[in-house]
Amino acid sequence: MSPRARIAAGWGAVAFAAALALSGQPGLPSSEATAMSAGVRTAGWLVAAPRDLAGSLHGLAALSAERGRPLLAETFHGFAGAAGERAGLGPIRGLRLGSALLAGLLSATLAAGAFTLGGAGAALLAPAIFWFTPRTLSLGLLATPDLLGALLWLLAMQGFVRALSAPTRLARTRAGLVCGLACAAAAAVRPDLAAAWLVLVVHWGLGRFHLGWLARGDRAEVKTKAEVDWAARLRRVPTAIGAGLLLIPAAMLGFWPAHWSAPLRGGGALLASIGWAQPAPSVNAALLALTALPAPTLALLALGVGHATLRLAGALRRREGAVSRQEMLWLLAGTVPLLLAAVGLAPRLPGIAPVVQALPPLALLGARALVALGELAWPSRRLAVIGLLSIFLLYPGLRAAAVTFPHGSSAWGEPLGGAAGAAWRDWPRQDGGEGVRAVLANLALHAAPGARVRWIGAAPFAIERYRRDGLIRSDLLDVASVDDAELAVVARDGARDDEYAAWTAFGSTRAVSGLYLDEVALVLVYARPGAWR
Amino acid sequence: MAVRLLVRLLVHLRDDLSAQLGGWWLSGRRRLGRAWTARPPTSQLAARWLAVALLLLGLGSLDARGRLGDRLPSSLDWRALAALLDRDARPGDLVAIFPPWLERARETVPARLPLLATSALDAEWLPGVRRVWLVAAGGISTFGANPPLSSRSAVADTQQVGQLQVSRLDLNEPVLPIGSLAERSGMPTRWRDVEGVARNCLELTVRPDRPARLEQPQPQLLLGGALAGHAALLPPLPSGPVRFLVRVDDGPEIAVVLTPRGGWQPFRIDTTRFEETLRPVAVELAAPVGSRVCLEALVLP
Repeated sequence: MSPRARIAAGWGAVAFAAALALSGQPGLPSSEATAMSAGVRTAGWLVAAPRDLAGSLHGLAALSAERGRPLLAETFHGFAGAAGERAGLGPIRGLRLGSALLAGLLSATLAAGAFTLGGAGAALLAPAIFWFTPRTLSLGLLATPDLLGALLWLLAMQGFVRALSAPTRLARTRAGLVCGLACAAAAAVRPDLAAAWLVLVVHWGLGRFHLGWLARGDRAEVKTKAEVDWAARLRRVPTAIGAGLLLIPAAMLGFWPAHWSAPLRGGGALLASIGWAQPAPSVNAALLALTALPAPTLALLALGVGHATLRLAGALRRREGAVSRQEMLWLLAGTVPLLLAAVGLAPRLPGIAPVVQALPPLALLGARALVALGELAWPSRRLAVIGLLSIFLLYPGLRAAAVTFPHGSSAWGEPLGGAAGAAWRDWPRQDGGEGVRAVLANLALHAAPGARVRWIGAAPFAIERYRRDGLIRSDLLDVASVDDAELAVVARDGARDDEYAAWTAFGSTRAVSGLYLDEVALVLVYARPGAWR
Repeated sequence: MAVRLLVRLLVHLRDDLSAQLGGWWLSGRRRLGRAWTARPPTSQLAARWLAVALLLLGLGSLDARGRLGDRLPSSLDWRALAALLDRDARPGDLVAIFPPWLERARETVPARLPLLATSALDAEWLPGVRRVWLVAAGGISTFGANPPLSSRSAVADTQQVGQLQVSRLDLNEPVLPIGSLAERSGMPTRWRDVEGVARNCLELTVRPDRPARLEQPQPQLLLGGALAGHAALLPPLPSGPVRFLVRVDDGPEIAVVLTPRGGWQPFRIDTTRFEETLRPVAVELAAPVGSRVCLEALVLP
C-alpha cells in the first residue's frame, strides 16, 4: 500500500469511527428531520416498488415536489439509516450511519487529494483543518444532503484535475467522465451544486482566454482557422463539461420524479432551490461561514487561498500551463460557492450548509500552504515548524469543537465573541431545534408523571426519534396546542409568539430549565404550576 | 611623583579602554556585516514573520476563548442574584436584563418579579414600576456614558455579583396607573411579540363576521386625568395605517392612528372632565379584516 493510500485509509477509518461514536449525541435539527423523514419514506417506496410500482412512483413524485429538489441524498440516507437501525445502532445513531460513512469517505478523499497536491504533510493536515471546527464537526454528523454534496463536489474537482493532467487521451476521457458523473450526482443531491459544472466552464473559459491572450500576436490566423474547423473547436471542449451538460439534467430529472411529466416546468423549482428570488436569510451564508469558523482555521483557509494565488501568478508569469490550470481550478472550487452565497445565490439552509462544499478544497489548499510555509520559513527544522504551526492553528478549533459539543451548530468564532456575539446581532442560535435533545434528561427527571408536553421549534420526526431512543419518558404525552400542555419545551430562534403563547397559557414568564451556550439561551422549558418537580 | 604615576596610569588605562572598545566596535561591525550578507532571502524572512503571526493568532484565539468564558456569569453568580432579589426586591420592582438575550435570568429571577428584556430600556414607559433592578453582564456589555434610565432615575445601589452587575434604580417619577382597561373589560391579556419585545396586552382582531371591539357590556372605568397606553399592529401587517376608536361615555369617538411598522406606539386621551367618575369606555378597531392590534390602556391619575 502506498503512503498516499495508507494516510487516506487511516483518515477514513478514524473519521468513520469517530463520526459513528459521536453521532448519537447531537440533537436532530429540522433540516435533518425533514431529510430523514423523506429518506425513510423514499426507501420504503423504493422497496415496495416491485409490488406497487404506480403507488411508489406517485409517492416519490409527491415527496420530491414537497421537498422541492431531487431525492438522491434522501435515498442514500434512507437506506443507510435503515441498515444502521437493523444493525442495532439505535434510532439516532443508526439513522446517521450514512453520514458516518460519508465522513470517512470525505476524509479519505481529502487526504488523498492533499497528498497529490502537497505531500504527506498536507495529507495528514487537510482533513484535520476541515473537521476541527465546531460547525463542520456538527454538520458532518448529521444525515443531511450537505456532506454528500461536499464529497461529490470534491470528487468532481479531483476528477477534473486528473482530466487536465492525465498522460493519455483515454485516461483524460475517463477522468472527465468521472468528473461529469460526480457533477451530475452532486446536482441530484442539491441542485445548487450544479455550480460545480459552472466552475468547470469558468475554468475552461479562463484557460481559453489566457491562451488567446498568449497568442494575441497571431490572432488573425487563429480566427481564420477556428472559423473553418468547428470540429476541432468542439474537440477542445473538455469531456467533463460535455458529460456534465448531458448528465446533470438527466440525473436531476431522474431523482426528481415530480418533474417527470413536464420536465421544463422544473425550472422554477430549480431556481428556487438555488435561492433565486427567495427571501434573504437573516445572515448571509458566506458571512455566516466566515464568522462561525474559529479565527485560526479561517487564517489557514485564507493562507491557502493566498498561497494558491501566488503559485498561480508565478505559473502564469513562467508560462507553466499545468500548474496554472490546477491552481485556478482549486481556487475556483473553494471560492465560487462563497461568492455565489455572498450575492444571495445559495439554498436557504441553516448554518454553514449552503457553502460547506467550499471548505474541503479550501482545507486542501490550506494544508498545502502550511507545509510550504514551514519548509520555506526554516528548511532545516521544517517538521518542527510545521508541527508547531499545526498545533497552534488547529488546536483552538479542536478545543472549541470539544467544548461546544454537541451544540457545535450554535458555535461562533471568537472574533465575533462566540454565541454571545451572534446573539447581540440577533443571528441564528441553532439550525432548527436540535438543542432540545440536551434538556430531555432534565425533563425526564423533573416532569410530573403523565405531563403533557408541547414541543416548540423541534421537528415532530425528531421527537419521535427521541422517544424511540428512550430519551423521552414514556409517560409524557405530546400535545399540539400549548393551551392543553403542562410543559412547553421551546427551542429558541426567530419569532417568539409560540413561546409567548406558553407564557399566556401557563400564567408565568419564568423558565424552569434551559440550555445555554455562552450564556445564550438555546432552549427554555416552561411549566404550569405543579408540572415540574 | 605619585601624582605623575597616577596620571600615567590613567592615560594608559584610557588608551587600553579605547583600544578595547574600538576592537569590539570593529569586530561587531564585521560580524553584523557578515550576518547581513548571509541573511536569509526576503521570502524566507517573510515566511518566518508570517509563521510568528500565525502562532500569535493561535495563542490569541485560545486566550480569547478562555477570556470569554471568564467574562460570562457563572451559575454561582446567578444563584447569588436570585438570593439577592429574593431578599431585597419589593412589590413594584422590575428586573431589566442587559443585554436582552441574557435569558438565564428567566430561570433564576424570583417568579413574583416581572422581567423585561429590551435593548431600548430608555424608551420604556414602565407603568406601575417604582424601582428597576438592572442586571447586566458587566464583562460583555457596557452602558457607555449614560446608563439606561439615567435621566429618569437615581442609582440607589450598584453591586457586583460575580460577573453580574446589579444596579437598583429608583425612578424619579414613577407612572402609577389607577386602573387598566384589561382588568375592567374582563378580556384576558396575551403575551405578544412587538418588534422583539414581549408585551402583555389586549388583543383585538378584525374578523369578517364581527367587529373588533371590547366585549359588551362596555367596561366601566373609574377615570382619572388621562387614558393612556401603547398599541401596536401585529402581523400580518396591513398595508396602510389603521385607526382604533375610543369613546368615553357618550362623547365623540377619538381616533388613534397606528402605522404598520411603528412598533409600540403611545397614545394619550385626556379625560380630566370625567375625573373620579365611573364611565363606560368603548374601544373599536377600524381596520381591514384580519388586522390585529395589541393594546395596553391604563387609567392615569
